[in-house]
Amino acid sequence: MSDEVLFESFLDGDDRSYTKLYERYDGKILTYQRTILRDHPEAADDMFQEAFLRLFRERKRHREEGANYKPIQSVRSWLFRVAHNLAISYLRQRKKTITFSETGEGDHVWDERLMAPVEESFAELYGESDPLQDEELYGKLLACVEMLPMSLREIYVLKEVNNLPYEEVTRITGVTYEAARMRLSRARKTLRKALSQYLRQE
Amino acid sequence: MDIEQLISQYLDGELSSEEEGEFHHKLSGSPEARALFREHLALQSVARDERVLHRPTESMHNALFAQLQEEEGMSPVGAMPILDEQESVAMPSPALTSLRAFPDPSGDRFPVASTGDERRRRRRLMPILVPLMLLCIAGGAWLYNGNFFGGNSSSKRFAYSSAESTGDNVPGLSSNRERTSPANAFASDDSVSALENNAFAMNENVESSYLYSESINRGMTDRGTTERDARSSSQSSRRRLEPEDMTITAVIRQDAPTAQDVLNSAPPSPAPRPATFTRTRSNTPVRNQLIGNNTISVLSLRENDDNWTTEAEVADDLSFANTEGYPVEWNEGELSEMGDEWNSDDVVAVTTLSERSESQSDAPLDVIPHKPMFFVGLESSIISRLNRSQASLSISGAQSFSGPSGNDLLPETRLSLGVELGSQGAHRFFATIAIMSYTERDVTLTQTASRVIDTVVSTSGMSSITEFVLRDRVSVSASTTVRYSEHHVLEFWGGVGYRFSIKPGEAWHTGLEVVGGVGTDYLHASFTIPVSYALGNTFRLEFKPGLHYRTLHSSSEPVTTGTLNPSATSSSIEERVVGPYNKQSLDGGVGIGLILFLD
Repeated sequence: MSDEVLFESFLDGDDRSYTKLYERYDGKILTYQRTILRDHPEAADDMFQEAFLRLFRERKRHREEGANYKPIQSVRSWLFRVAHNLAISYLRQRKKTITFSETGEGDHVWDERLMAPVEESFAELYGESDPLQDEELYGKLLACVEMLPMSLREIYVLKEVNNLPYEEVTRITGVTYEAARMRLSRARKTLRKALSQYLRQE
Repeated sequence: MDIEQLISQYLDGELSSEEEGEFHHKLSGSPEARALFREHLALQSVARDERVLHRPTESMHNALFAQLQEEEGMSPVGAMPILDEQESVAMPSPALTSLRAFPDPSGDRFPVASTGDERRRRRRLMPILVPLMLLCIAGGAWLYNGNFFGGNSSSKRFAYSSAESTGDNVPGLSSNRERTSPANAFASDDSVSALENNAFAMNENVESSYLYSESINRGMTDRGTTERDARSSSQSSRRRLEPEDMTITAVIRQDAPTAQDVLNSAPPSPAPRPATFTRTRSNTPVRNQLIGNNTISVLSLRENDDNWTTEAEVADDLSFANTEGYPVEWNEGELSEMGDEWNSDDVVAVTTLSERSESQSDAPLDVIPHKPMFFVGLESSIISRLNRSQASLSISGAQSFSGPSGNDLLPETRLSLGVELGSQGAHRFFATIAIMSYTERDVTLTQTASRVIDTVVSTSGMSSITEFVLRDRVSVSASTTVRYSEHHVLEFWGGVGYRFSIKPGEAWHTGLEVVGGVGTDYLHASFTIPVSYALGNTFRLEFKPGLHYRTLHSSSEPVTTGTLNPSATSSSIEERVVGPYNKQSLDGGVGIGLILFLD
């Protein structure tokens, strides 16, 4: 059953449809939140909860606005966008300087040297001689993703982990298609290098 | 193009057929490229595996759904985990067992509690395990019901203990279950049935439990009934497993709402709260309108409104959404759009739960007046004399002199301190002090006349009259001196001013400014038409063409000096007239100023 059918059903009063939507996206949204709010895991959990609260409140809006209600076109896109907004809001509240969609981080100033810290940090954390265990690889990948610059890891999680089309990625993050494509390519390259020895064993 | 970029585009399906052919050619010719490609494929497969995702802990899940139930009116059934068909059959108590792979509550990042492989293996075994389980359970129940051994007390205990062990997690169910309920080999399904009766005919898994609970019909929806009938034939094999004398009696909570009650009940409306919306810095108006029970304040934010410094203090119960329906966050003291780009004329809707919205038809929120903004301004201008006049000096009734006109450039510096009031800062009041430097050119005329006064005393009867007869002194002729002088002057002056502004653009202001003041030599008045451009909300750059009018406030008057002595037969006096006077100047020029707004 598609997200939109479930959402319609939820708007009509079926709470189970909401739960189904929740279970469909809880892991994805939480992963995305924790990716952005890497240094604030507790806040990420709060924002995760807030995102799904807002999804539920759409029904209230729907009832209040009746025919004027503008339905959500894509639940998935809406959820990620809300998650994005919440995370940025939190960071701004903390007076952090973030450059999600600015070209300063990760675009033209990127060069190969920026990859070094990722690899070194990873090696320090996990060592290079450990044999690869199947389950460990997922953890290692996430650990590496978290070491990426924010602009790269956001795109990577949206596009590669959550398999969203570029159109949605650009809508959620506000970056251009070209920038998103370049960032994903750089993220892939960096991660491939960092995890090369394990990927070869795969 | 870098081979890894090519690989990346290939993975995204972004290569054209021609580029793809080229890509394959590169791969075929380069073992290194193939190795890279394999690594990227492996990496992508890892990234897209569900195991890479964080999973919410059970406590997070519970907290969210508890809040949804308490505050948002979610029905309890909505908070239950969803089961798919296979899992619902396989698990002993679908309603009471969480099938989701929640990670360790300690917050371990990479949960492996229920992996995809495990689930797949489990599902493959379902067709074998399910009938086997049902057969065993039904057989056991039949035996324990006394059909074989003749006793049934233990079977009751078994049935109940099964329900009890898992029923504690169901709200409103376990505490009301009778311990003397009939023996039931499908105790877990009974739990679901009871739950169904308590309200909720929404879950197909729950509906299927009716296959085993013939006596339960309260609270069943039409859909549930239909589906039950439809399934009863297809699942007759399972039905046949039931012992013939088995009955199931659901324990129904009388105080529990029916399914229809739950569906019909509107979510509890939150208690109205007074709305407060104060805007501390924004030049855009707030429009208010009533929608439902809420007052909607619409704040337009335009592209150049500098979103990050548009501040608003809002109450806790406000929410924002932009025109696309996306929620907009606000921070304390800062109303801000979270995306990176605002389109022109984007709108933020501020929804408030207002007490007044329930008692008034229009329920407008007060439009908060523009916050007074104090400022300091420094301005430097260059003006040039356009016209200069002074009273003509008449000499001997024929010749006249007037002051020379010059085209000097006069620098002036002003320091202003004031406040900007009104909507969009339309009214500005300020005090200013200024220093003006210029070269003063004067023509001074001095006329001197020396006269003799003769005193003539006459007596008439009882009265005495003294007359003074004025006559020119023959020995001293009258003189007239005209002097031209040029000297540098620093004129200090201070005054007050007013400006009326309009805002033709988001960052642009223009209007009319009038300043009047008094200086060391002149009275000053200036009229300017300033054009200013906002540099953020703190600075404003101003360009000020205008006119400056000055008039001398200390003019020369005729002076007569002398001594009048009635007892003397004659006296002498001297008269002197010094000019010019009534000097005026009209200057024109431009100034550039920088305004700093003090927050």
